[in-house]
Amino acid sequence: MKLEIDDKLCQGHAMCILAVPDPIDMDPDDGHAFVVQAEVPPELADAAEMARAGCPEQAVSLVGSSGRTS
Amino acid sequence: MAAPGSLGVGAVIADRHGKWPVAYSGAHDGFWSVVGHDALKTIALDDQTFSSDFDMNNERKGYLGVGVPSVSIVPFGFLEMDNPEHAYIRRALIPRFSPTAIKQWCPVIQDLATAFVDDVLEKGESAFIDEIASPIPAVITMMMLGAPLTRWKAWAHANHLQNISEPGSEGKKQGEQEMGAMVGELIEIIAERRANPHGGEPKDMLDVMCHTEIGGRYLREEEIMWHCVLILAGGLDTTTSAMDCAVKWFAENPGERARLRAHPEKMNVAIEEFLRACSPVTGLARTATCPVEVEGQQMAEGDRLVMHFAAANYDPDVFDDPHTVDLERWPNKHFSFGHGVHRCIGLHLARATLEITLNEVLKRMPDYEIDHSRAKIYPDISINFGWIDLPMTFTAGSRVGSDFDVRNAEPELSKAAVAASAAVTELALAELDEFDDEEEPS
Repeated sequence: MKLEIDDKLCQGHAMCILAVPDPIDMDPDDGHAFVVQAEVPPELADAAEMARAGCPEQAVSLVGSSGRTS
Repeated sequence: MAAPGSLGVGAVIADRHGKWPVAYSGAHDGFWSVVGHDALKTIALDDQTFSSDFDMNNERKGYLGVGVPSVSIVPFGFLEMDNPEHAYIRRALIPRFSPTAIKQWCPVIQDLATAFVDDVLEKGESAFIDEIASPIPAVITMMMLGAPLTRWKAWAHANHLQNISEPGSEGKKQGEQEMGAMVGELIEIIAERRANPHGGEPKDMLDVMCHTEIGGRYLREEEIMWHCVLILAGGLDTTTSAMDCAVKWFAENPGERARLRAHPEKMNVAIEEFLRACSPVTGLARTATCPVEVEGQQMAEGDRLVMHFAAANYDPDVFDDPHTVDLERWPNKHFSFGHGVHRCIGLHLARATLEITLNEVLKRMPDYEIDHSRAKIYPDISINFGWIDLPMTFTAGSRVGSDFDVRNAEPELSKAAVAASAAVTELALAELDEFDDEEEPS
């Protein structure tokens, strides 16, 4: 499962960082989130789903499922 | 459900949703009041049409900044500036507030939480705001800024007093005097920094503002002072207020308190709900730079409008059952950090400070009670909402010890703080290398 953030949609709420801090960082220019580590390890699958569901702009998506239906 | 007033202004004016998302008031020379989540979002994202400029010398269009009524005599730092000036200063400071930078500061915040809880634990009672909720955000913000820690008590007091006093009262006068004294000290500190560069890499935010070019020039000392006041006023009493609301709500909801105490890992999501339900910043204003229509209302150039963040957080089109505080609410699309380019620069710091402190309070003072009859909200909630005082009692406990000495009138940076500061400087420099195309890798 891969984590993707659409920069055109991101507004910097940082809710994704709250849900799954390590694979995501903030761009210092615009405060938008970007993905540092796209591949989501199985132990972070729930947290990644929380990041996807929690994004106010629906900018976070999870591509390809690893045993978890969404 | 808690009484609406105890959650702040948002819950109180929430009845306007669906009827008057945008309404006009003749008060304070006239302004549009925006409560709708959609309308507020449109405005906050369009910073060209809706200006934050406080034009103190009437050099541009004479706009009055982000307060209604306007109380500023100088700009409230980069919060009352439009791009590109706003972006230059924000870009310079943001590496100090990034999630990675704040992670470096977390051990320091934990040490402060331990220290301030230690300080009251043996006596079994606390003036929670003066002794815990106000000092912790003050000390950490001053450490990051590079302000002298000897002044933490005075500056925390000045910021809180300013917010808790009735306009025109003796307390307000006193608050203004104390804020004035803080500004005077800042001016001296900035002049001294400017005159005595240490030659090394900038080690705190004062260094960044005093010794690096920002937007192609060095800031004037006066400008640095404006930004310092914003960082202090933005960082001090706001996080305090969110902490107060959480602590008060937990006292009224012991079941939830016990649940969160058993699950500190759930505190981060709970904090978003406290921020939504009782937004510490209730609203900020903009000025329309051209004729514009918002939700069917025609605004003229120069019209003032207030974005009521606290009220938008209760929009039933966005939040199910908005008057219920649901600590599991997710997603939580609240606007308590603002929205758009002026979004709170310190949001990661605020979240970390709230999470660490609230978990420390629940862990070490699990049976605290608050005298709700003596708890009073700020008399003026036009920009900030919060509690004046929360008298607290609990079963006394024993100290665990910390680096930071609360009773020392001349505290120095703890070892952890020095380490955090150095790590953040390194991170900020690495980021500059990475993002600045002109920078040659060494």
